[in-house]
Amino acid sequence: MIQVNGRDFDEHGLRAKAEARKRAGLYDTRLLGLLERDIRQEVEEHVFSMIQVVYDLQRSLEDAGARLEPPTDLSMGEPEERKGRGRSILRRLQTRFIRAVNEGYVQQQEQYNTFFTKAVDISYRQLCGALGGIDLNQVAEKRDRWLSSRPQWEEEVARAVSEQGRAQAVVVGIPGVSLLELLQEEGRLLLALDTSDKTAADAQSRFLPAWFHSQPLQILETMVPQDLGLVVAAFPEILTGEELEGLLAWAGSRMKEGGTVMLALNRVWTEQMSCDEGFVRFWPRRFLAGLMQRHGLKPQEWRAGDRIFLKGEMGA
Amino acid sequence: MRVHQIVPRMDAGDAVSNHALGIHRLLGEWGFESRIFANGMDEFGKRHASYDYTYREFMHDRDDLLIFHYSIYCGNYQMFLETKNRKVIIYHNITPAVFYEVFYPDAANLCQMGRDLLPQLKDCDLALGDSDFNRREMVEAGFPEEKTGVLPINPPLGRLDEVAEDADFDRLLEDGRVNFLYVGRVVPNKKVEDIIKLFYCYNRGINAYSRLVVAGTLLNTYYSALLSLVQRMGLEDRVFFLGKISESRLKSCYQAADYYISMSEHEGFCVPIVESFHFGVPVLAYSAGAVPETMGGAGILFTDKDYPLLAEFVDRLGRDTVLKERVLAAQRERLADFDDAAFARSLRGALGGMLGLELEVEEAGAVVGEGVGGK
Repeated sequence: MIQVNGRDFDEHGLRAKAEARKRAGLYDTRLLGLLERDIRQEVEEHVFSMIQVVYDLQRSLEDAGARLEPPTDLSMGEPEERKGRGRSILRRLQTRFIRAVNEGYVQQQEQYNTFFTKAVDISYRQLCGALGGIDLNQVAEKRDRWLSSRPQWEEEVARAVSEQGRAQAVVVGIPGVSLLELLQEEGRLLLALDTSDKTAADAQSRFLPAWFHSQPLQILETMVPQDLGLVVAAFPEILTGEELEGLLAWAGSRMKEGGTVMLALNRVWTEQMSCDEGFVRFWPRRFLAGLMQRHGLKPQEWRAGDRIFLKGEMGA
Repeated sequence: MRVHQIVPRMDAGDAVSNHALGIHRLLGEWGFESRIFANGMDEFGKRHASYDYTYREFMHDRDDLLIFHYSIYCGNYQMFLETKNRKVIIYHNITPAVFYEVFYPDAANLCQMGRDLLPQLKDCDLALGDSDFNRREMVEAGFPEEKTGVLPINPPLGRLDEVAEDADFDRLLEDGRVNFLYVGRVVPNKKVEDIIKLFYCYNRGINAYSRLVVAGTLLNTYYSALLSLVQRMGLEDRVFFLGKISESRLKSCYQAADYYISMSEHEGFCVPIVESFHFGVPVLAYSAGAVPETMGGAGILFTDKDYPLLAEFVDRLGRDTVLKERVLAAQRERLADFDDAAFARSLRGALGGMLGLELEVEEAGAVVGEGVGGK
């Protein structure tokens, strides 16, 4: 029951909307499952993973020839061990390792890594500053601004792309809502993902299943589509090379014969934008074609309106 | 006559410390000699309090009054038991141990000891709760009802108004995204995971252009579990744990917030709700502990944690200006119950008799209505 200023609020409209969002695919079963998750499960798994990390570390050190466990009786030395000062230092190191493990010092590793990364980042910035006076903050700002805008596909382009492939479709990088609406009307849109929350929010406001995630592949890896037939990457620049490889591997392993991947070649569009080249990743056509081939897709150039695509089809 | 107050700690930004300071200020205005003693303190506390062992030299005078703030198990309760001063206890509530068992067994033990000790403190002249919820717990613990009353907290809201804003931090928060806010210690009874779940639904289903800001002291194990959950939900870039922040940043958080969310399942009062009222932030709170009492019929209260439904409500509130203005108007009205004048009336109503102050008709009414033996 919801009360507003002490009075019961009529929830019927809200319930209907929540149901509509579920039907539209905005809330999937994994999401609903996580809502039921007890926070104590996180602790149990966290502790378990800590123990696993420690054992893995111990095993790999032992495989490398390090003997970590001291003899049960520290007064008893083994004949092949080093004598004198070296032995004492080794013994002390062994004891410290065990103490460190026992007291959970491994937990601090994450903190250390953060500091380390920050330190490297600061040094890099200082170095760039010293070399050419590049204002990295300004460059990053420009790059963010560039990456946050999306190519808005014209209606005819969206329609032509939506007619490709068959069955369920996944869109990475949202090129405006037209494409999503067309796919949704046909009941094909499984999910649209974007690294821009604003773009995802625009689609959500029209009840289209669009999610924001800074690493879209992480979401895709949790999904098991029943009948995937089309993957559209409208803005491959938002993905790293590894992520693109992952996306095509994901698509290649889940699509059957006739399944289609559409990768937009945004270079022409990009050149119309004002930005500093060199800080934006333009994926070369050969690189994208190579990735497609590696994952069982036959690439070919494809055009719709003014836009150029690399279309890859799953072979037999 | 002297009035002494004992608190477990005297720290900046701490609700119990602020309550003690509010009483101290009024006692000074009324012409009483007043001192605060604490078991521990930060730099801020050192300017206002002395260490509690120094209270021992004052504990033999029957004319003096001791106000003992009880919010956690702390060794200085012995002085409350031994003192010859007239005794007033103010109970701020202690979290039930069950919330801490999995995460902090030691803290759970302390909580249990604190709650077990409460009945032993019933031998006093007056027992006040900072909410009726706390007062009822005292009655359940064996305190004579006729000696109990309510003295609401007087959050120093003006203090935040005077603080200069952190312009850089403001810019970060005021970028157009919808900001969900939670302020307070990040501890298990506050159910921060449920706030994350509500935000998850809103961000995934309704508006990805949004963020959740969690401002307050972080405790290791629970924080790790929350981080793990956030990661599992893929919200790393949208949920921000700020830890304990400066007052200028706290002010920025309130000013940039679109909604304040409380999912807490145990609250003795909940000061951030009143602070949100002050900054004109709509409050959505789960009805538990003293929360409904603190809200006082203003804001949004819910009894079921139905996250998709609540997310829809948040969306509705964001779109419906009339509804939002009605909520804010009621919150502003409620705020008047926590201002300095109201607090002075409540304190005078509760302690006036013991301090030998003459009560005005309105204050005498307050004693009957909201103070001693009134509930």
